[in-house]
Amino acid sequence: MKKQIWMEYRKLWNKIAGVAVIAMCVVAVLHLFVYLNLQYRSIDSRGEIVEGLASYRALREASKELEGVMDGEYIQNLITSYNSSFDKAYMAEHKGFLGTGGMTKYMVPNYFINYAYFGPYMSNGNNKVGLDYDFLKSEERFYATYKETVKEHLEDDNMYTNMYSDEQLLVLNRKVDNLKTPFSVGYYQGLANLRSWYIMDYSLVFIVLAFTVAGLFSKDNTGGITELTLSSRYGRKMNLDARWIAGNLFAVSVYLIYLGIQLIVNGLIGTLAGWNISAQMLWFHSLYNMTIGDGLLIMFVGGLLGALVVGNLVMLFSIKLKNVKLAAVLAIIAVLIIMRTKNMYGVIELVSPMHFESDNMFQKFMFIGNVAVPYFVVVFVLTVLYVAILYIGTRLSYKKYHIN
Amino acid sequence: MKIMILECKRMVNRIILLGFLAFVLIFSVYDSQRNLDRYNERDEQGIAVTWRDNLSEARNASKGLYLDKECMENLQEDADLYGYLNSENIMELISSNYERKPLEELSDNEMERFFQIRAEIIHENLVLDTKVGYTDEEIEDFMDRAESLSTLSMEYAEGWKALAEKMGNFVFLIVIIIAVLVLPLFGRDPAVQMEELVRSSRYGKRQLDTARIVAAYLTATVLYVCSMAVYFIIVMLPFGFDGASRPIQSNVRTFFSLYNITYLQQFVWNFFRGYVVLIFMVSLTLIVTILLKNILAGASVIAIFLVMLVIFNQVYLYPVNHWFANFMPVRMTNFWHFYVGNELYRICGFSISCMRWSIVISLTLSVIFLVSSFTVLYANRKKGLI
Repeated sequence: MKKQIWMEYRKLWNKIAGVAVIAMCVVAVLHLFVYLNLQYRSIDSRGEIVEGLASYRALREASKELEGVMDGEYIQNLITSYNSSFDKAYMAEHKGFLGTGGMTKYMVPNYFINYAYFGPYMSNGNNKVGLDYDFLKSEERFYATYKETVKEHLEDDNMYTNMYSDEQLLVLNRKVDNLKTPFSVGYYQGLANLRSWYIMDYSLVFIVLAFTVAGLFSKDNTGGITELTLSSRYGRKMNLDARWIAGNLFAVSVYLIYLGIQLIVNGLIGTLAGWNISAQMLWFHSLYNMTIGDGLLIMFVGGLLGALVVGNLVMLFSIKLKNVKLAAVLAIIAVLIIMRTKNMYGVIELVSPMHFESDNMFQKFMFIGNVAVPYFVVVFVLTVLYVAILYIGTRLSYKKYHIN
Repeated sequence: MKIMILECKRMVNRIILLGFLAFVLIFSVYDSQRNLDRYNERDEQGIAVTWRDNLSEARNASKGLYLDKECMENLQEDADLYGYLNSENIMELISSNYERKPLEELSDNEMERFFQIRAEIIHENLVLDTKVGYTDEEIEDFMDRAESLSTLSMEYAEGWKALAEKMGNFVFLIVIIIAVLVLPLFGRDPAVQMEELVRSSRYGKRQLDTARIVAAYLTATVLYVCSMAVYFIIVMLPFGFDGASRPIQSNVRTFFSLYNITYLQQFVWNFFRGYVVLIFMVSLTLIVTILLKNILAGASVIAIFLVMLVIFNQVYLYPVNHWFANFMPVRMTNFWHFYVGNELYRICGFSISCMRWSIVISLTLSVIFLVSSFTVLYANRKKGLI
């Protein structure tokens, strides 16, 4: 069986797969290099403006002095350092600096502190980095304000979405109270880029799968291979199962290549530093005591589940139609429909594989009684369900998969 | 000639043709319905005034209507004087021109200076633009065009507005579908082992290659013209064709446009631009399939290329758009920015508008792809690969 799976897997790596995967990698790399190079600039440790790809490493270097745990002492030092900094003076002169791709080492701690003040109205910009707040006088007051803001933010969001009842909001508020403070701070721009670009380009994986997996069960191969396989001893049920497993392995492989590219290129440009700092620095109203690395890991697992669902969907088309071109056309239409759900909100966020890679995985909850279940648990269960249904659909065609 | 007709038939057989026409029809009717729905006035009970009544009222009330001081004064006295739709249209323009200031608060002088104020806003935007950095000469040239608009007819032209609104999406879809139809010309289907046979025949080499390439452009042109004709008729019919000679500035989306053209000219520009995109996509598909020799591999490259353009279009980045995306199908079929963007290219001392330069570059790229296709085919024939 193992050998069969391996051979079927090898068969999937044909010319189409090679071309599609290379195209996917080229687009992902190009998108990262071009946009990261043109979009950003930063103030380095000597107070000079560094533009392009070098700006991230310069920012990392400058941010070293601000790494640590955001306790009372840290906040006071931060205020002193910020008020006498070149960065502050520069931003006072260049009002649009942060809003147009400018970066400063103060972005991480100052934005987080400003979130405690602005809450749902927080955004990027020079007007949201100031530290002139009364609540910064003590660590306790700051974190108490922060937690109140998170609660208000949840309530505010709920006014539009009506996702949670009042009781459920109370459960979430308890989670806010349980957050372990103080949080750790540091440079994470490389990971922030990784998160954004990973989400933006994720649909490329679906496109590649639509073209490549469509041929898995097709019977329009040349040279009578299909007939030969079907006449052999293990050429039916076992072989078809082997193909299904190979198809899933292939989907995982394509996804891992995509993820690998994102990790490598972002690692090269902005580095992957900051994986162990508190998630709240990136996701201001995260309700978990976890690190940025944990959050990204959940998103990566979610992305893998999404790829498996789409992979299985294409396999179903492949065995039902048995024609590679027809299956590919149908798969592409299905993928385009799935891609359209990217800008949709509500229940679709939970059920569409296009959203499995997003940070909703740990930012949103479904309630079973009074227990808040994060989306990633639901998505995991959903994926098992999707794959099971699609597998049954595929299996139903096993008996009809015979020599014409 | 015979080979070419056969290749055309191979590309578009009866089923594909029917499917294509069905798609064009369904999409056109759907777009038309969505357009018309915007003209239904609703209240709590449902539709209060139907699009038909609304449009015919607007048509009758707009005869000889110009947006000038008199028109504004009349509206100040009686907001419904010109009917609901015309009033809405005029109010939108006034709102853009006077920076959201309500009509009631406009002074006589402001009303008198309607077109000067428009020109001043255009001038301010040109001067404040940091990305293009217009020279004094360029600004002067733009201002000449801005100031040459001294009257604005508000006569009924809803059909043309509706046509301009959604045409870009339709053109993009049609171009993609036609590109897919071109794939099998050079992309080989492994299941059909006719390639060797065809290639060993008398006209199976140079003549066949040429016939296939001509067939691709010919079929694409015929399909494009037919589908656009169907779309044009279905979208325009409920509205009527009047208003073709009205200026595009009477549409709020192109109010600040420096192209003093009519709706008909705008449609012709858009139609032509769509055709240039089609030529580009057909040329790209040809070279990709000639190089890869496989339908699905070619299709995957084209699909990923298009997804890349869509992804690039999500974030506005001037250098990427200026040097790349403006010449590519996604932004080329997003027609609006050509009319109001005022983007310029400075080539050999000349300032050329994005409207013209994007067409030049797109066609040049198409020619490069086409020449490359012929070269690769020639090289393959010489090597005996086909």
